Amino acid sequence: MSQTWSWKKSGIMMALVLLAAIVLVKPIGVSTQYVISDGIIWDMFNDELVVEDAEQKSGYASTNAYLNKSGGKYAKSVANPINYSYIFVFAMVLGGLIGYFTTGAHKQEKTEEEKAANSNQSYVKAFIAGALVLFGARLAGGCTSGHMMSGIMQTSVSGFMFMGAVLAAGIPVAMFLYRRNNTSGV
Amino acid sequence: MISILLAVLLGGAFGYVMYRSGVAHPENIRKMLSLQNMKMMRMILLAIGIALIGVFGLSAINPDLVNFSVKTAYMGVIVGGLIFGIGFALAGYCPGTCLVASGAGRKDALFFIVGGLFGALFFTWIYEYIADSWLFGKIGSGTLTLASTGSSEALLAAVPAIIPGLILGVVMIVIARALKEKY
Repeated sequence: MSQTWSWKKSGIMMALVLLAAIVLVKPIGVSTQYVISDGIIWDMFNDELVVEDAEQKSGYASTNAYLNKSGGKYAKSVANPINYSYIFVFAMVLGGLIGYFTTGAHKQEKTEEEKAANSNQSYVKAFIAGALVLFGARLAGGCTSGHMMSGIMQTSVSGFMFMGAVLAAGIPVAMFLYRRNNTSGV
Repeated sequence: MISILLAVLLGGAFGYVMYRSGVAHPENIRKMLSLQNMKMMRMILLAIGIALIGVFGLSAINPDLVNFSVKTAYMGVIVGGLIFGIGFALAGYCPGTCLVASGAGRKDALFFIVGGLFGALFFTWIYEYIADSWLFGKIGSGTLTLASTGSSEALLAAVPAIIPGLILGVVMIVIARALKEKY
């Protein structure tokens, strides 16, 4: 943790990445790619899930209403996963890996919090939290990246709504879980 | 091909910055949401503030420089945000930071990702039953923004976009500066 940047340096670097993305390609978003991964796995077991369809705007159709929406936009990504948005999320994993090894964090002893995170109880909690977070993100049509950062930087009303709702639920839950005993509560 | 290269560079940079800033460490998010340490909030608000000034500054010079893409405002954004917030507080991960943390060797992040795949799959299955419900009722015309972007309905269409863009950007930075690290 000692190699963690200050809030100023972090904020400036984050802003540069957000700006580079919206200028060079499009605003950053992440959570849609979970649906694409699901679609790719599902498609392995069901050949009819995604099919080519010249009448659709994207050229692809799906028997699933969600994958088929917006002219089969998601169906197309399931059929052709080597695209900007999908590769982007795998590159994020790589970015984390590079940060981990280049800062020497892999050689450092784990903090108490990191040790506590390696327990069955913590894994079950992470699994349930992941399901809630991604269900919520898909219902909302975006997540912290797409709605909060990319949305508010365009002054989107949806971005403010999302941030307000996340904090309105997240703060009381976190206060209840972590404030009473003043530990990380893992 | 160039788009794949950009994906690797931008995604890699995004992940690296997330790691170095500490936002991919769930302890920091838990401390932010329980109002014990505001460092992450300061970082995020500063990033959004600078990005706002950058986006509306660049688009004032040449509107073609910025690829605006505004998401729709509908009731599900609020309901989804509330469900998201509960999980966010529980684990301290969001859909992006868990990917970065998994690259940095955190096993709990892998469980979060697998849980996320199930959550997204469940939504994919039930979407057709809720697609016509109030959850997807648009607010106004849907793609609403404060400032004009050329691809949205601007609530402040009467003023040049750079004015609300700059003001909001400065407000974000002022709040980021005013917040204290530890409470």
